[in-house]
Amino acid sequence: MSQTDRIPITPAPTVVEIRTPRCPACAAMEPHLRAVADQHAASVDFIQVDASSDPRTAADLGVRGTPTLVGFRDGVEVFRSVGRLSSSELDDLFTAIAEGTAPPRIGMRDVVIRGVGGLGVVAVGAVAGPVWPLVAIGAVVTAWGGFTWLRIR
Amino acid sequence: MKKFINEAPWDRIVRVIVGIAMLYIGFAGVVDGALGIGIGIVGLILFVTGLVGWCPLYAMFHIKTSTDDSVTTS
Repeated sequence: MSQTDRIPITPAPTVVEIRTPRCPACAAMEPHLRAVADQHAASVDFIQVDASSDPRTAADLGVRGTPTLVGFRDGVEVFRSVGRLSSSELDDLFTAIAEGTAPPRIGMRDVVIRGVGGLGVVAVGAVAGPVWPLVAIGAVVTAWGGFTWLRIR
Repeated sequence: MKKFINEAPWDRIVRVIVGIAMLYIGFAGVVDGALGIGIGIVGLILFVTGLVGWCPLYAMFHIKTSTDDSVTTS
């Protein structure tokens, strides 16, 4: 987890957005982010960092792309999201940070659902013909489950 | 990091199972013609949304069956 002392991260729940002025995804997300941040202003501190004018802070936070949202509780990073989020996803993020609930992340459940689901489609495809497109879809999904497992282990 | 999930685990499992069943019905010749293809496509959509854990219709209508302590994402 990357930390920086260049921005005022307090023990309070905090969301930091690292953005750039020329980033289209940042611009598209901005009105939704502002609205959600205002809605949660009483419980979540919101800080914006312009990576183009403050690259050191972005580097300290280990930012590799914009927009990046980093959630902190008690000064410790508990969540990171890269890319544009919808209004409801932003609301979920701010709510999770405020309530201290588990941040969304890939888990073993995803591995099982994808792996077993993929094998199920392979089996159905094999039994029913075989129907090769189904077998192929199942194989891809099973492989996806495998990659998911590699990412989380 | 991708989308937040808006489906509970039971929701995802039901979608995957029903999706596979509909894929079988649609693409294994149980139901022929356009109806069979339609069932297969709906089954594929259910299957994929179950795998991902995120339903665009739920998101559109601000519905979610997931709870904060059971969330995962793709």
